[in-house]
Amino acid sequence: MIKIRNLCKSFQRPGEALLKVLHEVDFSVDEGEFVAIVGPSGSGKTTLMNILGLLDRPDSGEYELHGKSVAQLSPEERAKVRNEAIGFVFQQFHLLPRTTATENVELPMLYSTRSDADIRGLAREALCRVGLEERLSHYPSELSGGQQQRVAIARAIVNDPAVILADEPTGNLDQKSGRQIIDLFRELNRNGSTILLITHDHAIANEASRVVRIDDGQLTETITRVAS
Amino acid sequence: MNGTRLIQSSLRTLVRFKLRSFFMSIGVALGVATLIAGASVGGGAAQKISAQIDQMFGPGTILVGSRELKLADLQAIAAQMDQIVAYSPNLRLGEREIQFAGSSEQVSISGLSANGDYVWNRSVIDGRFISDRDVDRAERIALIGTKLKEALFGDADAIGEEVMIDAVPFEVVGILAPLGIDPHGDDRDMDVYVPITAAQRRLANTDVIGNGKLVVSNVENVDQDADRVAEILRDRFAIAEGEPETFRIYTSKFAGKAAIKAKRMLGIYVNLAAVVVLLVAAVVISSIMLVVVRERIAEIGLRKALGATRRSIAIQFLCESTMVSLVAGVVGIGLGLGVASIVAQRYDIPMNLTPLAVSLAVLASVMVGILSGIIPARRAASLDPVEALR
Repeated sequence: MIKIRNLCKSFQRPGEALLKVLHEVDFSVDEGEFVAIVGPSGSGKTTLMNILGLLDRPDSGEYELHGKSVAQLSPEERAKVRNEAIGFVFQQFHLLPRTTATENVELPMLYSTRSDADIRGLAREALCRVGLEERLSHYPSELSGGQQQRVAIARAIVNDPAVILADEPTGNLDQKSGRQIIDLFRELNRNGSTILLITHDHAIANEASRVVRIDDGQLTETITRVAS
Repeated sequence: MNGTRLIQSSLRTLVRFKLRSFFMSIGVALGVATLIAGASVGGGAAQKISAQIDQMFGPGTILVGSRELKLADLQAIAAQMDQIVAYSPNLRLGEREIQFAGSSEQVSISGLSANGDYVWNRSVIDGRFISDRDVDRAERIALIGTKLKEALFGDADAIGEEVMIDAVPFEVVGILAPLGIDPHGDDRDMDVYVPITAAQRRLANTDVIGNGKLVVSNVENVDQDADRVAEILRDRFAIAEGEPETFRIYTSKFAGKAAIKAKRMLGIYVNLAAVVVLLVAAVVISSIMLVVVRERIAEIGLRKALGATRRSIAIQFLCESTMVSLVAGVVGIGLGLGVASIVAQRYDIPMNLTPLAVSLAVLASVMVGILSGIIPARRAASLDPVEALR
């Protein structure tokens, strides 16, 4: 599903030395896997996530997503791949305020070519899958943190993406809500979704079928388990 | 994103941030209101002025004026030109004192001939007009305007009463039909008319008539006819080739042109003011939209992450600024119509709003919206999603 080879990314701030964030990273995720990437802050997790999510481009190296080389696409092509093949879940939920749960979930489909009727039906279906069938017309301000993150997950799965990228999805939640979110990811994974979760919390990482550690821009495999 | 959803979400944003939308729309609304009110009042005023000109001049008329002009000159012109169907002198004596039973007024007095009611378009509503016999015998009779009648006689009957004009007694035989204020600001209902001969002999001691009006048979040829009249007058006044004319000559067409020119000038200034207001409005919308873009950086980043292209982000913000401006434009059309109808009622001007003016106003507001949205839309579209989501 995801295959990266020799990936390098560095940043140059004016007046500072070149900062190598990712250094010759090799990494792959198979279809149906639930992979956690762990690492302390500043280890390059978010940069890796941005590149995997096609929000950013690597300096060099190869990136193959769903059998297609995507490392050097144009911004417009990357927007299309993000729309069709990637589902994002962020730490801060990033829901549009004063916009209902259904409309938030509809958002990615507005940039596709789906019909209006499809958009409404699929949004409803996705919200049911995350257990929010009672909250279709609620605004984010009327929902708890856990419920807001569920709306965000519904938004991530609504276009049936090849992979779900979740960046610290439980970082802004209390333990119980965080637990429920992880359970939801596990359930989605059991139903076939490929999930890539980035966290600094080892307890959460251990829920994944495979844990990869990132440190100073390099990856090391730590735990591999048979999917439960 | 499809069009209906775009417009819906733009309108929702507009309603959600009412105060901001108000500040964004006020300039466009005022600019469009100026355009609409200007077009309506300007058009109505032009209609009224040309109606007044038609009433004063009548269509197809030539006015001549000279300190040397005598009745014989008009007679000679009419004898030489078949196309002259009527002519009438108008000796203006200027301000004179008129008295009745202790009250007095300063009024403008003119001498007319018996056909003055037709040629000068001035009839009586009470009593009778000047007759040929009055002119032949230089009778001391007078026609007075309705306001003057009221000032001198109040509610009492004026017909048959004797008034003193510069200490000469005249009998009031008719009351003039009301005309109101003419474009020069003179109150035509304070006019006094006496027979031309009485004005010449009894009040001014002159044999000139000063002004005359000629009515031609074909309105279309009035300018050529005026040239022929000028030729005859040059001949009669013995003005050598190349010497300047000692008389003035106007046609009804000329007066109409002057009114149209005045209206056009007024229109240009009003429209210029509206354009300036609209440009300022565009700058205001543009700067507020830039703040909006900054406020919504996270939203823009999210939309990009979810698959929005630069183009769809740009279109979204262009659509928002255009909808604000368009709604403001519609409000401005209403506002302009309100102002125009108040002015119309107050100054008795017909409302004159063409569909063209309305469509131009709508077009102007859309243009302002697009223009002011360009820079904010480009800024929003060029945001880096990684930066925007941080």
